[in-house]
Amino acid sequence: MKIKTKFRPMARAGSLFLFAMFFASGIQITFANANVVNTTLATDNQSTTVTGVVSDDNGVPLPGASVVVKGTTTGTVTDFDGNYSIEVDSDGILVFSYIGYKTVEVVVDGKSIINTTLPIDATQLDDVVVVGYGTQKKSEVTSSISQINGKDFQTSTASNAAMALQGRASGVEFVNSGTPGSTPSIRIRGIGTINNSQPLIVLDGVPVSSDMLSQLASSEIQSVEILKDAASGAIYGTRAANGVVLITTNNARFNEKTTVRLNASTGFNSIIKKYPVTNAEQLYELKRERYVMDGLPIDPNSPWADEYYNQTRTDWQEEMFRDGVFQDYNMNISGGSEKSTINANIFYRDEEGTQINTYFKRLGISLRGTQKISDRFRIEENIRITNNHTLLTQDDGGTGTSQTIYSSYRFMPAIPVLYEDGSYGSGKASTQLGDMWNPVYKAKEEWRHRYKFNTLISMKADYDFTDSLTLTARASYQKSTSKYEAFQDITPDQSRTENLPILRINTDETTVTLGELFTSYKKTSGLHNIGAVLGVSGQVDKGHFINMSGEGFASVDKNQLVMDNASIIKGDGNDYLATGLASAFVRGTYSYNNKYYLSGIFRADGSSRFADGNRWGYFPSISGGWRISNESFLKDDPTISNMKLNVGWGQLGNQNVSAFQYLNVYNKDTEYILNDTNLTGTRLASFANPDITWETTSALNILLELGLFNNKFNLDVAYFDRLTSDMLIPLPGLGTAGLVAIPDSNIGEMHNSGFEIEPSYAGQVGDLNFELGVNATIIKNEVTKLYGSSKFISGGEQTRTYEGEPISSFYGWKTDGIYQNQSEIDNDPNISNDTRRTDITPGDVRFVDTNGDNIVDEQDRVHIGDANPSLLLGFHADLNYKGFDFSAVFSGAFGHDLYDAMMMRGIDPTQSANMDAVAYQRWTGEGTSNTYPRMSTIRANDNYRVSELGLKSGNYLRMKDVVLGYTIPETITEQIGVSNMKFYISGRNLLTFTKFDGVDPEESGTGNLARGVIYNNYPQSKSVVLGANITF
Amino acid sequence: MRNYIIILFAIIICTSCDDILEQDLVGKRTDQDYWSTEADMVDALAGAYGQWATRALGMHDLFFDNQGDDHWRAGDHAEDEEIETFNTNPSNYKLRDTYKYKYEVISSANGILINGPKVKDLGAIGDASYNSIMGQAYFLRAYAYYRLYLIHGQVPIITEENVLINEYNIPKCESPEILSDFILSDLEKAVDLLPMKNVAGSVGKGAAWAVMTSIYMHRATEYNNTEFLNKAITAGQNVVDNYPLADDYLSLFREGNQYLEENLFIMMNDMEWINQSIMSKHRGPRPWGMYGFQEPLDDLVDEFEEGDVRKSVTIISDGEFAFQGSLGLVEHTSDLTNTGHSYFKYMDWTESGNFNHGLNIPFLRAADTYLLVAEAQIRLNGAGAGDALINAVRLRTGLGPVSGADINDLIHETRVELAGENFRYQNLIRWDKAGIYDLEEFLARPEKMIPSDVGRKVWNGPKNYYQPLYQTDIDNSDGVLVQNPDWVN
Repeated sequence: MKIKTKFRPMARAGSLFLFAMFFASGIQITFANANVVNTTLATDNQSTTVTGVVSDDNGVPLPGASVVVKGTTTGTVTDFDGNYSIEVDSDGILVFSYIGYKTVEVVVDGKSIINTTLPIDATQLDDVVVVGYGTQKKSEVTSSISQINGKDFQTSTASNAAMALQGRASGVEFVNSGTPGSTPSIRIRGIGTINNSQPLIVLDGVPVSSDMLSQLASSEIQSVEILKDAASGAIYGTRAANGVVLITTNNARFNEKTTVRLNASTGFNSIIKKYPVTNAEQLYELKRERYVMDGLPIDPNSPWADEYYNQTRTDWQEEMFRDGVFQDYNMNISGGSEKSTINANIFYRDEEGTQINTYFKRLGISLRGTQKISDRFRIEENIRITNNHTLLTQDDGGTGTSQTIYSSYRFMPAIPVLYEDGSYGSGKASTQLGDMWNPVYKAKEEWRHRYKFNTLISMKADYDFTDSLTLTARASYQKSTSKYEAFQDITPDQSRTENLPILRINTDETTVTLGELFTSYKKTSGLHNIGAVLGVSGQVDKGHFINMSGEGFASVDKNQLVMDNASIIKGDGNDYLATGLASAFVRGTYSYNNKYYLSGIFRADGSSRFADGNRWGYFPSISGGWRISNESFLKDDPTISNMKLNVGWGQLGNQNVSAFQYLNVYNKDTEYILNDTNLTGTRLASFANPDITWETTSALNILLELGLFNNKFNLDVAYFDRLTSDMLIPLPGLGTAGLVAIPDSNIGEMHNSGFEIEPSYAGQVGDLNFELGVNATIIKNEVTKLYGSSKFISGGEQTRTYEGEPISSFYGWKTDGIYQNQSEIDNDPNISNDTRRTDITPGDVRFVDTNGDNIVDEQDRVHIGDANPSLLLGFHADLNYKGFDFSAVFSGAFGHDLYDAMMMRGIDPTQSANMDAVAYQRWTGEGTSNTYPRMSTIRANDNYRVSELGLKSGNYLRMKDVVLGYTIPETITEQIGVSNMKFYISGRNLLTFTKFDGVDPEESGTGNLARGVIYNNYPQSKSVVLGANITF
Repeated sequence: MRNYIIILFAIIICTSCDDILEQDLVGKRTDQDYWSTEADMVDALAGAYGQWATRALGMHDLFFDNQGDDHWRAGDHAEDEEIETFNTNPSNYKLRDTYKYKYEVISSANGILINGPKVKDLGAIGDASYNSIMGQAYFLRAYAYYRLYLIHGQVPIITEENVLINEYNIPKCESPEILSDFILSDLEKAVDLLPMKNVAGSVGKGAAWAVMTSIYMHRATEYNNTEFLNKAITAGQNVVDNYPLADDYLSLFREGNQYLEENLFIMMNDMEWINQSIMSKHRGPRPWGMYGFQEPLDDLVDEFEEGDVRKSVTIISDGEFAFQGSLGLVEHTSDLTNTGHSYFKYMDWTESGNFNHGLNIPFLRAADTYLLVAEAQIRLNGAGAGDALINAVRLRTGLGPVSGADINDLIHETRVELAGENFRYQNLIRWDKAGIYDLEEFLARPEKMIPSDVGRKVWNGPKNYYQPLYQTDIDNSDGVLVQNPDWVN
């Protein structure tokens, strides 16, 4: 509290100081401009034009290599054939440089042609890494940052860049949904909190919502950096606890020849596999069998006494799923003059979903430009406009039985798609046919459109006071509007009739305004390197929504479906809770002689989400590195080319929880009529927790980098330890509080620790260049504190989170096969005191009495497994041979269980739905099955309760991406004026190795607290695509 | 350019930390500004009433009546099967919502009882309006606990005192009697505060008396328990004296029924505003626009005397016709139901042929209280003692008066008068406790269930007097909330 009152005036004084400095610097702009003019005039007289080719050791031209006149800012870059042309004093010196190669200086000495070869820099360490509010040389980084180069996934068929990252970095997990246009959720180094564990996404310096991932084209991305530890993440303070993903889009350089790159691809999407279900004949047999098993006559009114239902008429998955065609086009135009650059991306994607009548379309443009106002002053603009349009047959992300994915699996196979009279087949003849609508009817006669229109306008100004000191200001404004339009017609044919056509239109709009000001300082003095960043930032998020529904339309012609034509209109709408974040941050780096490195960060964040007094959080980090290989005893080692040890510690925050939980809030949302007056009733919607504040994560990182044989072989090994304290958890929901929401309290603790191991090898055999890499992550997750050892947080019917256990344990009964005969029941000590014993019959599941009272009851439920993998594995191979290139990426998870709730429904004949194929392997008599219980609707033993019966190993390895490309030799393409032409064939999710027999072993979004519960989630698709990449 | 940049920086500098951090709560209110006007109290009252339409009573509570013999569950929900066959698993989610939503009503009522006096102190509300709202809050809280009392017997009693100290994890009360005493004391306060006749949709004194009568009858666990039967007569007589029955039985269930004095407590609805379809829609054939749950059994249909107008209001059977607006007369055909019958009481169509799911649903009718008083008199004074009240109920039925009616005649009259209104199973339990029925034998009779349930629907006393408490609530209470007796293995 004391710190807070001190801090605020300090922050304000600091920002005023910065402002004053800039104001003063504005005056200098004029002078700076004048200087430029003078120099240009002066050099013109003595200059000569030098041209040449820059190539590598093997004579391969290097496109984009930098050519600079030493001691000036005049420079150019080589084109795609390695050619350059530059005006230079005849006695000047040219400096040639390229990332990964050693810099070479050549004295012009009157020559007009200078061809240069750049030797590979053995250490290859001088790649630049984006670190937030600036960049660092990779060699100087003392924390764990994964860098993924944009070119690695530009030929992926994934509909967004985030999906294409999967398998490429250690410690990063993806939770994918197959819903067209959806974005995966990302977890970095385990689940850091039971709350929102999505990392912060920063696009070109602007924090954006994770939905932005669906609005980016893969081709736009230059690089992705993932800040995985506190030493790097602390610069983003209270939003960095779950990691930070920094996305940098492509940009043009000064003096870059204008190039046009076109990429076009087309291909197919299809479901990875069909879900195995019974056919009508099997189902008929099973449903009849359950009467026999229960000792009952077959109900003459039921479909199971009607031979009509003993004939398969439809394979609903065949009807509902298809090969969806997709097309993707993007164009990049990029070029720069001496004073300004422009980079434009225009992209369009049209992706048919794997389900009929679904699609995802994305159209977007992004423009980036930079102007040199003077040698010292640069302005950069970044404008993005994207429109995503999705058509779905079901609501986003739902797993209920009304979802079409569910009915595609479960609708009765005896019912035809259409009857002979042309009307839709339906289950209305009997409630035993299921409380479901014909999925084809839903897909074809209803629609759900979602439009997301997103604009981002960002401006950045850089002013160099000196070569070492730069002031940067950034302002950005984002506005996203989303519209959801859904229509349901009346359904006289289907099992539950809707009487009135309903049109729903939900719109929402959110804006994010950001302002930032920071100075960067970099200085090399002898063997000392010093860097610093100091700045302030402010961000405000606002928004509002309006939801409307109209019922009763005289005409359901699409052109007549407007709210004006509805006979009943209802609606609600409000502002979203506005939130503000005010911050100040500082980072200092120091290195000595490329041997010793030190870095420190401090960020202060104030968040309006919390009550005055709990708003400000302080997030420090410190890290150091020691390049052992530069010590004299290793310097000339023939094997070890690089060895560096990094150690870092820091604290991060997570404020990503509902705002205003410190207030008692009343909602006005309950319609009623009193005294013939329509009223909207009010109710207390949430209790207050005045003490609520952010979660804090303290993280330790130890990283050893090793490079052998001229860095052909690299190995990174990291150990991490993250402790989340003050974790916000809701007190257990009690029915006695009614519907009033219970606010979160800062009481929990979660611990994640583990190793990341990343070996890679880059080599060459003749013309074959290859790189092979593995990334393995071992994570141990443990909830170390809740509100008491016996208490837990429920994640739904199947999962609980307990103290001392990993998040989301499956909680239920142990099983021990199936009772094969009566004597097994009579002699079973598990139930010898159980009153239910007489109701249990052979074919029922033997549940285990774990507490030794010889009764199977609620007290016998235990942790039976969990879905937290002990090993995450990624593997990639990149090969180049002459014009051919090949790459493959695999991703897998091991050492965890899944709970197949979908199957548990599918083997229960009480459910009025088609059953799982495995139900046919049920117990029918002694010795027939020890896994699947008898067909019965008697629930005395409740065979389908949450138990080990539903538990399955979740191990899998999947080939996420595979690409084979061929680049046509330049000698041919040159003749048609094309500098580069590549064709490729690419595939996604084509191979899966798993024993899991449910929908999909890859995790889909059931939430952190119900991790690994398998329902009818939207299945992921596999795809094959043909594409071409042309550069002019 | 320079000006532009200065403006840019001005945005950052002028928006000081305080401005950024002081964000307003738009469109919502908090304790700091709520409870200042009469409208605040009225809105809170509407909020309390509004919950009944959905899960507080409207949906899940009704499924417990499947355990009686008037209808079977129908529909396709496995959890209904558990309930109807007396195998309710404590994890059955039907236990969850009806419990939670009733506590939501209690929460809203407690809010009014705590904060109403503040509004009064501000001088923002007149006495008559204040008393009426406070009386309704006492009534609504009592009615919520009354339903919990019938279903679970014992539950935690959350009062204003608990709310003020944020205490929701408390043990259930020690006995059903303690719970019913608490309800009665609320009802007495409600009677003191409420007007005799209130505006449409709002309860008056009559509703409170009706619930009191019912509770006393449930407390009369011996056939001739003088104390409680007399208390029931005293409370119920207030209803008899002040609330006449409607002339037309059908009118009790159709539009305009909120103005009938017989309807003591009614759940308001309409298609345009509340549009709460659950209550009216969940019963009735799916092809007709309803959800197909709860089909009447022959046993109930046969209970009606020849010529009883209540039969055609209550039930539609195969071969009978329903007038469905512009669709004209539509026959109830044998493919619509398993039993050949549907409840017709809440079935209505608009002129354009759409199902009218906007009917107001009566929860408490004076006729119920008339019959409870009649029952108490028969049980105290023998056959014939309830004739006057039974005949008052029969006046509009097209049937002649009875004389010398005994307890069986009274039970018959109660069954047909209240069929499908969520009373039957609770009455059966009451009659079992009073020694009139032996439910173990009675409910095992084949005609009391759908054929496929024969042999499976086994009633066990005293376990099945009550439903278990929802397992998650027990789990979350960390040992504070204990399962009902007999439901623990």
